[in-house]
Amino acid sequence: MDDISSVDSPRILVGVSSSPSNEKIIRAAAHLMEMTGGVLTALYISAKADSFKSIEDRSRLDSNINLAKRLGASVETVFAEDVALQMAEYANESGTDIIVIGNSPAHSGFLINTSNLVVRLSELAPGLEIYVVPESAFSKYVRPHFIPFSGKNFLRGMMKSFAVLTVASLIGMLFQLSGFSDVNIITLYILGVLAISIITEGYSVIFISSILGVFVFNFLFMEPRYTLFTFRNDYPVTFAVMFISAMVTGSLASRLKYNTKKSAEYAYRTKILLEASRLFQKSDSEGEILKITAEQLRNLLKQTIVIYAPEEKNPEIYIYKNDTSEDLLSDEERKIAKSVMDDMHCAGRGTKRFPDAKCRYYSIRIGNHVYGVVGIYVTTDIDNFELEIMLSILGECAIAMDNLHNIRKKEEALQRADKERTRANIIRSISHDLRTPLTSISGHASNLYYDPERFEETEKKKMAADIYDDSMWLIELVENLLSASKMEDGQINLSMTDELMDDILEEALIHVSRRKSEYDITVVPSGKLLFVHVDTHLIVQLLINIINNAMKYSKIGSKITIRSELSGDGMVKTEIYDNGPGISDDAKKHIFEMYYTENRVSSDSSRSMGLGLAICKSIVELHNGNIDVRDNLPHGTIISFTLPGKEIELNE
Amino acid sequence: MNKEKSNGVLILIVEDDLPVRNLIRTTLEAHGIKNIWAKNGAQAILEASTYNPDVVLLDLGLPDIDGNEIIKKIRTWSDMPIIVISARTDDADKIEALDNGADDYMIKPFSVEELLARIRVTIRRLQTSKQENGKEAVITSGNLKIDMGSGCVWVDDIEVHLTPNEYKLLCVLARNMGKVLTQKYLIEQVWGVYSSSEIPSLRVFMATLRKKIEPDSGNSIYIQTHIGIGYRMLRQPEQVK
Repeated sequence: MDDISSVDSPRILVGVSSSPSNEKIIRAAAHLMEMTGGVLTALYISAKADSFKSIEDRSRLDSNINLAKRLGASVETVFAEDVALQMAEYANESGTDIIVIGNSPAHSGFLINTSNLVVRLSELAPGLEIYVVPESAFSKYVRPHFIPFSGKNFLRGMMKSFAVLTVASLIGMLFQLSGFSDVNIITLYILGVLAISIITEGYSVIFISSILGVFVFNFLFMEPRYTLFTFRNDYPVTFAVMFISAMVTGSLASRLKYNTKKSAEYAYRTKILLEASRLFQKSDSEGEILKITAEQLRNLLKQTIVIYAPEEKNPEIYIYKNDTSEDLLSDEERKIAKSVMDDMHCAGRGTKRFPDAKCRYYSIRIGNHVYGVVGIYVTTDIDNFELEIMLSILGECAIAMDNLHNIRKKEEALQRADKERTRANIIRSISHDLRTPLTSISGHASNLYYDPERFEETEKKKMAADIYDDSMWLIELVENLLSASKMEDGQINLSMTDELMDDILEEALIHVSRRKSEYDITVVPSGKLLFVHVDTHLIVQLLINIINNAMKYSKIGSKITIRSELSGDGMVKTEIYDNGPGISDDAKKHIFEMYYTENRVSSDSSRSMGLGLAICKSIVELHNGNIDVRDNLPHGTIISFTLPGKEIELNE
Repeated sequence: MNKEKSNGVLILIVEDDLPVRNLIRTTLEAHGIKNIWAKNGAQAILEASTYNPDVVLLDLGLPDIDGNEIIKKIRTWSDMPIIVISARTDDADKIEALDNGADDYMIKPFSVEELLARIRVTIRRLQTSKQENGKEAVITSGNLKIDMGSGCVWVDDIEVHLTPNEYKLLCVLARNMGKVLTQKYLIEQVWGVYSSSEIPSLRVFMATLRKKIEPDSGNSIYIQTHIGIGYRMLRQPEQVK
């Protein structure tokens, strides 16, 4: 924690609870914050017992949390059983200076009273200032258990109640016929009310059923039968006991049921959060993470979710059940989402900004980096617990996105380093290779320049020929390097045009080594106009390399044949046949690798870059074609490659 | 240095690099071609206007003025053939130079034979156009005869039937015999307006035209393809049998 802030502006922590008196404490804490210019954190410690709280508690907790937010506190939720311990730990970790609590015994339920809490807090976090706000007005706090009245539910409950009571009465009659005592029948009715409380909702039904049970019992089984009168004096007592028993069993069962349901809901939501973080760990793309987020939020909130990814024009929509998705992607909605993307603050339905929008928008962010915006088509209110879980999921999502982002950055950096290394290696090898021909060129030139009289005319001619050959070799190398540099950034630098394969071949043949007249080179006419969609200079270079290579490894006078044809899949296939010595199967695997030169007996200088065919492979693959090598019969090599063909329409 | 323009042709070499300039000069002199030289743009324009050379060999990358500006300047007063020399492999600058009025181009490194071949082609064009003034009705090259008056084309004295577009293309090429015509120029001449979508059509017509007039489809003698740039018609010696 920052020292200055802890001195000048104290960090104040206030506990939030569902207690009605909590409002006063929060206000006191907010007042303290204003007075001291400090920072206020409202901490809600959610104990497991809290999930058993009534709806009224729940709504009061929500309003207290909202109050805290409104007064400028940042609200944190933690889960713990031991309130004092958790509060002390949180205070320690967050560098809190002042803690504000109330002195109500109800502050944290039945187990801890305030004096206990103060004592424990001061033990656990001795450096803390603890402010206790008196709240005598709320000294007694009862937890009412209340289920809202609903006419439809009530009617359905009453029908169920009638059915159960009828069955109980029938069995009761059976008991009576069998001569069982009245006590058994009374128990039967109590059992009936218990059953009603399980299958229905609301106290009113249980209450009415209890009364009804008493009356029906009286009516059916008490002398005089079929009247609501009794003769015996002790019967009113029996009825009262029966009613109370039915009522108590019924309400206990009902509460148990309600609690079970609540804790199932609680468990379900927590499960969603856990599941989300588990899925985040497995996913390896931004899209997937956003998809998981949307699906988990949809499961949690049971509402339609819209996801806006940054840089993505079209948001993804995850519809909940039968929600109509119309207008969720309207221009206005997109505009709101965009503004949330830009300023990271929550906007849309139910917020200060654009309260009339269809969706409410939250940003998925870490620090100042926004990884997306989530839109929730709010049809029912989101309670604070759901909100906390939702914000946690969004937080986890942002962390997952951030991790992915960092991993990708790291990979890119590694790739760049790798590329640099490769480039450095190539430059070193090339510079090394350049030395040999340059030695020969400069040596011969110096001899011719300084001592021309020492050499015979034939020797001079031989020297000039060597200079010429070596410089031609250098020219070839430079051309290949130019091609390589052009291809370095993929297809970006290519200038693709539609050319006739025959024209490209003709051009290539002009540029192949001057020794081409020593070979028998034939171009088989294709008979058709074969257009290819290519970068012409690269393809000319490709052909030059292959033909020069064929000449280099074949004896003078060998036959080289070039043939182009349309292959089935819209590609144009070109094959270069030579009848030289051929290439061994082992070497075939490597000839397209950089700096591979097969150690063959050659009529020419054995010097070779081994760059040519590797560049050929790159050129062909950059055009989404294939290059391969196979044997010519009876001997020799066929190199074939494919290039994308192009249909041409004529404008006559 | 013989700066007088006497009986032979005079070539102006514009090249700032001394070894390359020396190479060109020695090559030309070895073949008895007179030459003058300039090492920058300003000097080039001065020499060109003073001596009115028959051919200019112009390096595009000069220290002072862009080569294309020199072409434009020279074209304001003269049609003297200009052969551009470029070290750049980009097609764009060659096309620009040709569209500005250059006749031909060479890429460094060029061979001595290439240099001489280009000069020969240009000189031949120069001589024929002087004789015929570029307006003759019948143009011949080797066994190819084009009669612009009647609109007929003969190869080996056999009439060849061309489509209107093929014929128009052939005429444009023939009138500019020896000069590299860019795709843009050809499309403008044949279709009226330039549109890059016509380039494939141009290729197809050129291919069918060549099939009809060239004796050997793998080895063109009348029309040269300059891939990515354009086409050029070559004057062949007459009646090679």
